[in-house]
Amino acid sequence: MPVSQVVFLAVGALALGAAVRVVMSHRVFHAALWLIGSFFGVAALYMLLESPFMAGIQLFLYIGGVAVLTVIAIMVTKGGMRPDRRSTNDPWSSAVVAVALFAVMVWMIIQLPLPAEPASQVHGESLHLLGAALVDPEGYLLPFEVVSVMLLIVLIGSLYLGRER
Amino acid sequence: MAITGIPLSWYLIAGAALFCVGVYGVLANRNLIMIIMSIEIMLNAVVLNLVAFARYMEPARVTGKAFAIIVYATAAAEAALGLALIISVWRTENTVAVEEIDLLQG
Amino acid sequence: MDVVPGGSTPIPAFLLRLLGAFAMALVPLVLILFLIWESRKVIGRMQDRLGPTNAGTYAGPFALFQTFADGIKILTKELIIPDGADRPVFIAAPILVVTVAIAVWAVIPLGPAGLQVVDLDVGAFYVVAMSSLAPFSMIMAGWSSRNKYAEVGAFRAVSQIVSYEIPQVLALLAPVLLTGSLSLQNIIQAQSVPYIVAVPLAALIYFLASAAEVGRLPFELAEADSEIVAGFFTEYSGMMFGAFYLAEFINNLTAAVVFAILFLGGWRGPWVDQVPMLGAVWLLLKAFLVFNVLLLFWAAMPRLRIDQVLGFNWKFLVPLGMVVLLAVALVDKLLPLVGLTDPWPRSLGLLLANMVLGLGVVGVLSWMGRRAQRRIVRREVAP
Repeated sequence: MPVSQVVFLAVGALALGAAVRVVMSHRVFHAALWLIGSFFGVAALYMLLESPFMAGIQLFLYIGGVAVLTVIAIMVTKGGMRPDRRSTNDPWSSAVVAVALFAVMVWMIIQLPLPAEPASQVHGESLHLLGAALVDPEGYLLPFEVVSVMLLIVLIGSLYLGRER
Repeated sequence: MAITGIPLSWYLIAGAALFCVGVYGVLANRNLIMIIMSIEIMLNAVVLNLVAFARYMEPARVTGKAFAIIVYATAAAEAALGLALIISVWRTENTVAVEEIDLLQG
Repeated sequence: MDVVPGGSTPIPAFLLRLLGAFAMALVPLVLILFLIWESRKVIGRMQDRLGPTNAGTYAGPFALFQTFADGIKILTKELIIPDGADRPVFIAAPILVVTVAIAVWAVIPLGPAGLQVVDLDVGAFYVVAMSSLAPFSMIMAGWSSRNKYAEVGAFRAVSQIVSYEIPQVLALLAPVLLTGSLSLQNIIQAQSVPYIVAVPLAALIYFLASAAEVGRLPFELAEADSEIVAGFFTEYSGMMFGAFYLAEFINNLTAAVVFAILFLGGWRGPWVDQVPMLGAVWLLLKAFLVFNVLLLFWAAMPRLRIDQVLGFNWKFLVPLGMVVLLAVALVDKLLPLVGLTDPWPRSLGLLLANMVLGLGVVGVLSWMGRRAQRRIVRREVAP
């Protein structure tokens, strides 16, 4: 078995295992730490897909941003639930739904004629292409600008929502 | 030189599995913050799918990666806003369990 | 060390890469042994006392081996874990902080070709991403200690670090803009004129933001020695405390090295083309210089309060960073139209733009200061 497959299985096991620990953890803080583990696993998968840029964004935005926010929210709300109630509602039917969904998706994936090898890289510097496409008026300039406006709105909105009363 | 030997279907199955773990998390958890974490896992799975397709099908076009970046920005923004809302709810209701936040319930 | 990984890489080449990565990880650890001694000597002299000396037991000429002795002492101390602490998280925090501190060294180029673990296309971005993982170990340490002082220290440290990432990234984008690539090797190779000459304002912003990121005075809230016991690592003892201390020094060294790469020209220097290993010497000398400047900050300045720290960031550094980036981008596009495309005229043109901007900022600030002064005087005069 070539090295790449071994690495893929190891990294995929990390990402999936950590994700399962996230949803099944009893303590919210531990779930947040397992979430970081899952994000690391997905970042490693991006490196396997030869996009270090996406891996870098995953590390910087998700782990350095979203996960830090989540942990701060956990610390502010101190876990947040009364300890005498159960922490999940009806895990068995939720598991049935999730497994059924997974089975349907895997069945669909197996049916499709998907390539077994990645297409050849046209040239190595795809980052330049991506940057050029994002500011090209006939490319993706409009979504780019809309996203920046949206981020401004979210910035102001979350400041307003989180203010001290 | 490319990293060869991994079929595309493996990446898609990994993405599907992550997505379903996220679905389980959203359905089964009572803590609002756990629900937000599960939504982030689902979004991760989606972007993984996008990037895998972008790599395997036609790397010259950057549509997949541009889409992925925009999804990332949206996901981060939504997480920030959701957590601000949760902190606001905590200050008034003093709980973050989903069933106990029922002011608007008829 | 220049082997590309892939599905068909033979095993020996893979092992060679691992060995190279291991050797690179040892470099900061070895340098730290010397730098801790040097820091204590310099700070001692600044504070009008001798640093570590040979009073009592002999510790090498000028007490050079003092660091070894301290390390051995810390290794033999008992690891005390408080009763109510969250054990797995408590133990994982120091491991994480040292791992993240060393992980940045994977993309640092010590020489023109091959003296680097991996030359990522997005090297500068990787450095930023790794340094954004630092708040985690602080949160884990503060939360799992179940100690009010530790939690307060963790909150302060995290808010400071997360805030100062923004001007750090904005200032880091200036050399990236001028080079046209995020790869650290490309940034060094494009610096026939060091970027500190071309964009001194961006260098200043990056320097201040890095100082705040690694927790140097005047931004030393996270472990304010006399205020909140020891901040987020109050409850740590023995080698776990040693790990935090080590990681802080490694972060300082890394910040100095990255500043040297981005703004001072990295491994460039005389005779590098003939002897590639000399590149490592030049880089470390420049980093040593920056490290000592950071050290002098620590020795000479008082501590700022959290509201002063955050106010400085959001009201001054972030707007300044954005304006500098815009100005650099604009001027860099206009200069070829005027006809200045060679390195030296280009750098001087950018320097002129930076000077104008800097004088403008100083003018605005002094006008605001004079206005505040007039307001105070008016309030005192009117009964």
